Amino acid sequence: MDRHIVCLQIPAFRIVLARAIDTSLRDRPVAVAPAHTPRALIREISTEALLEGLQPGIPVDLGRLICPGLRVIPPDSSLTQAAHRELQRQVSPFALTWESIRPGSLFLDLTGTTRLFGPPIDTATRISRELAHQQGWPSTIGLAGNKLVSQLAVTTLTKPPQLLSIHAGSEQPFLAPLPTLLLPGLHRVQTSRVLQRLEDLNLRTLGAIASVSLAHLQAVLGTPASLLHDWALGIDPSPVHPPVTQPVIERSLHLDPDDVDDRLLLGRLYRLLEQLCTMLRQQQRMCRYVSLTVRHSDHVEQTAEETLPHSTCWEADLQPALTRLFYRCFPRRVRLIRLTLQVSRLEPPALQLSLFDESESIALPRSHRLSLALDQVRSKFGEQALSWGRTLQ
Amino acid sequence: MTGAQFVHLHVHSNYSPMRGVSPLEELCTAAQRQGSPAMALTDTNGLYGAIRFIELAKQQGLRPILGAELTTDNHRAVLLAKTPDGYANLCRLLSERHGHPSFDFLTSVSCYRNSLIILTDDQAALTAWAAESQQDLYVELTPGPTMHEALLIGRRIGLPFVATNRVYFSGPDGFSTHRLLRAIALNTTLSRLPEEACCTPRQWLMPPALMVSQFPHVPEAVENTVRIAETCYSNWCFGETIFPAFRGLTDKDAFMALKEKTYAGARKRYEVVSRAIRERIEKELAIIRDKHFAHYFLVVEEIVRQAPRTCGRGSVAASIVSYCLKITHVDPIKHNLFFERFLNPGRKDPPDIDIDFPWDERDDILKWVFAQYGERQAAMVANQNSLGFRAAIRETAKVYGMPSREISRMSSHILRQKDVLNFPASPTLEEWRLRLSQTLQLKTPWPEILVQALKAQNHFRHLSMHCGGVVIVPDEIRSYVPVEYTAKRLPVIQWEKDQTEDAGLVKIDILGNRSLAVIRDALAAIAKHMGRTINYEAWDPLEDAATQEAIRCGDTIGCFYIESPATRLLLRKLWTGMPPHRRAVANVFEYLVMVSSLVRPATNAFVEEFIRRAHVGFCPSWHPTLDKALNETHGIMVYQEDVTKVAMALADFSIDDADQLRKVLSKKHKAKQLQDYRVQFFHGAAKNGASPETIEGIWRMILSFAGYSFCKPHSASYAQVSFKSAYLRTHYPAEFIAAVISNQGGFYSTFAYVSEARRMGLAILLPDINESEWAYRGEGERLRIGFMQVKTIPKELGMKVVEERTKAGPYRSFPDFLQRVKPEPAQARALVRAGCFDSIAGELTRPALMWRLYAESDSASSPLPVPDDYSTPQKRTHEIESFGFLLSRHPLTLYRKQIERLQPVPASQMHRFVGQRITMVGLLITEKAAETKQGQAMEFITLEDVTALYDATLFPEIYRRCCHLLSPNRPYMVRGLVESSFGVATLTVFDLQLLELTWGDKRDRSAWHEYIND
Repeated sequence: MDRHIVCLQIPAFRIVLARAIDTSLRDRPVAVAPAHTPRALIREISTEALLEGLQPGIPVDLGRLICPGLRVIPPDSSLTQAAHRELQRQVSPFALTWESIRPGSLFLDLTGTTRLFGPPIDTATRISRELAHQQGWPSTIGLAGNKLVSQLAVTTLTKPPQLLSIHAGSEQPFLAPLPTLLLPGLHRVQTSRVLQRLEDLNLRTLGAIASVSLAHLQAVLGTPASLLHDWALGIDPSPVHPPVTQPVIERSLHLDPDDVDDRLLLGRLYRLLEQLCTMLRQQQRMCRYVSLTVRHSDHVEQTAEETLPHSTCWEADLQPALTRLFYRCFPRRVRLIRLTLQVSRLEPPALQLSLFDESESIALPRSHRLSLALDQVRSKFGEQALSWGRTLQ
Repeated sequence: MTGAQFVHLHVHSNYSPMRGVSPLEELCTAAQRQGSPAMALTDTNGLYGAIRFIELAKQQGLRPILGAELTTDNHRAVLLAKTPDGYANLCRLLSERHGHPSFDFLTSVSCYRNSLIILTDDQAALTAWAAESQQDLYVELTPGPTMHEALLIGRRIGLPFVATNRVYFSGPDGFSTHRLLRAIALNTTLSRLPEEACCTPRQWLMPPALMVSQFPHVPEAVENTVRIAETCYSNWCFGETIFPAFRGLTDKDAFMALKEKTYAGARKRYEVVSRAIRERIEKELAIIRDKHFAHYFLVVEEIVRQAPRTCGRGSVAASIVSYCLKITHVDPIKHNLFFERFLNPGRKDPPDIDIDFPWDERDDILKWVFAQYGERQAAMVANQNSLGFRAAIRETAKVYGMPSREISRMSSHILRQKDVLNFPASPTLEEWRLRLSQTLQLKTPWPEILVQALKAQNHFRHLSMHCGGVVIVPDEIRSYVPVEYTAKRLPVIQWEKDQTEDAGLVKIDILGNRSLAVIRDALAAIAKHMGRTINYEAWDPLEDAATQEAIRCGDTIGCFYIESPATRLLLRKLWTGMPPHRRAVANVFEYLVMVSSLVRPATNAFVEEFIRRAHVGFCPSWHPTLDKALNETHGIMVYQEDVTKVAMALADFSIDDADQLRKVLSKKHKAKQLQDYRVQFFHGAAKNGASPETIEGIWRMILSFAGYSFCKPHSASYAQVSFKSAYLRTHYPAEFIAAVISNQGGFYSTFAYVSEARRMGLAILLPDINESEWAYRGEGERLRIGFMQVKTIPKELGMKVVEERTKAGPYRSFPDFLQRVKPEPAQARALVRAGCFDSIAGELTRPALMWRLYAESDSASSPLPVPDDYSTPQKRTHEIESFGFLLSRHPLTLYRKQIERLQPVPASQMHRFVGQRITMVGLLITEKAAETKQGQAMEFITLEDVTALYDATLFPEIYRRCCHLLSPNRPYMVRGLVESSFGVATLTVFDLQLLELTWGDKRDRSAWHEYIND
């Protein structure tokens, strides 16, 4: 059966999201880059910035030099992840499996859906239209027989919404003039040596690679030669991997004003933990995994995670772990603006019921009973009715 | 000390690195107000501020007691010098503490405790030292939780007690600054600062009565403070000059040796020693003998003898003895240099001889000095680095957790605003903070950061090494001052140059100078290529007409000290507009000496007047009394000694006062002294009939010597090196410019020098594996790029390539090269991309060479492919990546289309458009930021097109609009008005834009990114 793989991409996804919130970013050169150092590299640029001569990967300072009117916004992973989840939700009715490439980009496997939704090209067009209509996200779409060709097809499209379909058998003429720079993964540090060699050997297009014998290519490139040769010929048998998700409970706290005082921050964090534990107890769940993400004033994020020795829903068990996480993910001397606490690997409580009436022996520890009492007080008189001293500002 | 209740014997000043809060002035003033007769300074592990402390304490009528708190990870003790011998022992002990990684606290103190009084509450130390001797050993009692334990220890061992408060700040409000300093030092925030890393809030300079009330149970501890203070030596007298001893000679023998050497040198320098020369030598020798300076001259002469090319800088160039000893190379008689500027019978401070050596020979000279005198006798002078205002803001903001971007933004805002707030009188901290917070609309926590930063500024942070100052003593340096070690294991004393001088230690500055290396290399190349050997010592190019003309035209790029745009512009203004009759008699060297002195900050107002007067040739006097003093410089104060001359002539200063005024001007902390001299000057000048306007004008001229300025001997010495550089540039341009670039570190970038070489008519040849050497090579009319310009090629490889080629002949092919040199693949790649193999590649293109470089020898059976060569833009990119700039062509040629459209005036034709508005293009070569009188920022820039360099001015309005566009080596279109001053055209810019690439050229963007990045 012929495969129909769609590569869907929302160009400059982070900028599209930022523009939805801040209208002053529209119709002007914008770049996404970490804000903590002028040496940071630009991760993403808008079309206007591209026209000004900017490229992703150049330092922010250089970007400002080339384009003095450039607005640089810091990456916001929470916002991007939430939007990406929304994107997955939007495409899920049309594809049995989809695979995330990065936020705002997906592979969809439309193989075998023709009877259900019509020709894949129509389905792809419909997805693109619905994204634009419902979310205001302009997308580009590549449709081909494998992931590589569909992704390369998308890369050649510059102005969304656009769609390019590469029919089976026409892969090689399509690929031949494309620069090797477009091959996925060659920009990574581990593979930059390969890219450098291809440039040195003047193999600057996929056609140039395809025209060299595999033996010669292996002589100069070693192991990656075989894969590159296949790619240059349009061969990519890799499947679309479906996503794997875990249920989580998450609580965030925005700090306004930002702060750097450990005592105060830990107090706020313990309060967050109390809320999370109350929720776990209400839902009759326990967690085995806890992670803390802090966001600094310069928008740098740091995450630390820990697997707990046993599942729990009690503050007394989680507090020492949380303190450790706090110091692990907050070694920098820069103020914090957001704390995000997440627990996962949720399980039902595994309580062994007693055969006999032994209320004395199964009594909960004091700290657990105190937590339950606090839950009751707060449910009756409100969240602020009772607080631990250390959680007060 | 009759009637004294208590004396503070444990006090830290802000010389305790990142611990002590209060400056010495504050502590001394506070102690004096409290009625203390004495105070001990006990900074942590050092005597960093000892000389200043003695001076300030004496000013306040306090008896200064010198000491230190010696600390290690496990032990601590306060050591006070009981006698001068005790001071020497303290210096030795502190030197051991800093010099030995395995410093044994207990043993070392035992070894050096003679004549030292020890106070400590360290149980282990007390037990160990008491077992040896209980003399001068006290148990230190400080109010706090540890006092009781110390009391028990003392009673058990039977030692006397002494009360201290371990002072870190003069008042109770200093604790927050102490915590801030500790947080900065430990790289942490206030909330993470461990309690044990700080002192307690009570450790301030409490008044005696309050201190006494803390020890009702041990009154003897308080009484002992007075007793100890009485015992300690306090009549310190550090002013006596300590000269190095030459080979253990007596003063008489040293003088005889010096005299002999001087006359031998004179016979070589002058051939015939005339009566005038003999009289001058005798006069100088008499002063040298009377002041016992003979050793010093002999030591310096011996150091100078280690290098064939040197340049004596500073006032020493006025000495004929130095000239005869070849310490300097300017004839003081011929150039009318007065010895009194260097030495005179009334001068109390020691002479200061500074010598320049070629930059790459300086380290060897220092090694020689340490080999000759050993670390026992010699050490380097230190720089005491403190927290400047910018650093204080930055570090405080970091402690408060501010992001670095915000810190940079705010600190530059604050620094820009702080000087233009125009307070009528000196503001209080709170007034200053309020005004700045309102002006900049500072948000929390910035006002607090600002206040804390102000308190933290100027705190001593660490030592670094002075750029070249060496101190040599006749016996043991560690008995005069504690010695530490730099990261390169060079010994460095704990004092900076001012305290070193005040302590009587004589400093010899051994400095690096790139131009001496340039001259050396150029002379070697001339000898090699042309067979002409120029004797550096006998070489006198001052009368060479071509060189004089080049200097008059400002064609001096690459020449020592006179290559900056400001100097070249001044030279051109001076000579271009000079009437022929004046030009015929004006001496180029003499004027060059003046120009070298005039190019310094704050002289703008006088430079134009100087040129005007030089053109006219006579000097309308500011005041009749100044006619004689300033006759030589057309009535304008040019040299440092003019300050002395003017103060004496106009305001009746004594020679000592006048010389002191000259010295005070160059010091950092001079406000108070300068104010006193101002009053004296205004009073004296008014008495001599000078009008208030004249006095004000001359005082302004005197103030222009603040910061840095030069004396005539120094300028003459430098001008001679400038002349020699200019001679080489004029007659041997290829050899000269090759030496300039190869030695690096000139005023301009390598790209600018290569452009200049192109304009000088030299052919620029790309590096070649069979032609290039490691450095640039100039020969005839060609400049061959050296391997040093190819990025990522280490010197070892470059030298190996040349060595192998010299030994076994030229490389025949690429494989031949690979086999003989065996470079790393990355290095061979860099050479291929730089085009080094183009001459031996034959049919093979550069990518084909890469195939042969990367292919494993036996892995491919069929012949390797020969792909097409790289495209022109690719080659251009490789060129920029390899060399850092475009070598094969001028970068502006990439903008041919835009330039054709703009039809700019070429820089070489700019002078024809005076008074007209024109359009020009150019690459930005240099920038010099300046400020108007109103404090508005502006900038002088130098640009170049393919024809010449030209200077342009961005006045405040246009600068505000365009400053964000300015970046070195980028191409610009500028529109402006051509203005002429003294016959020299400059451009006053009205509009400045980046020269944009067309869409067709966009593919070259990546090359430009690399280019700009570089």
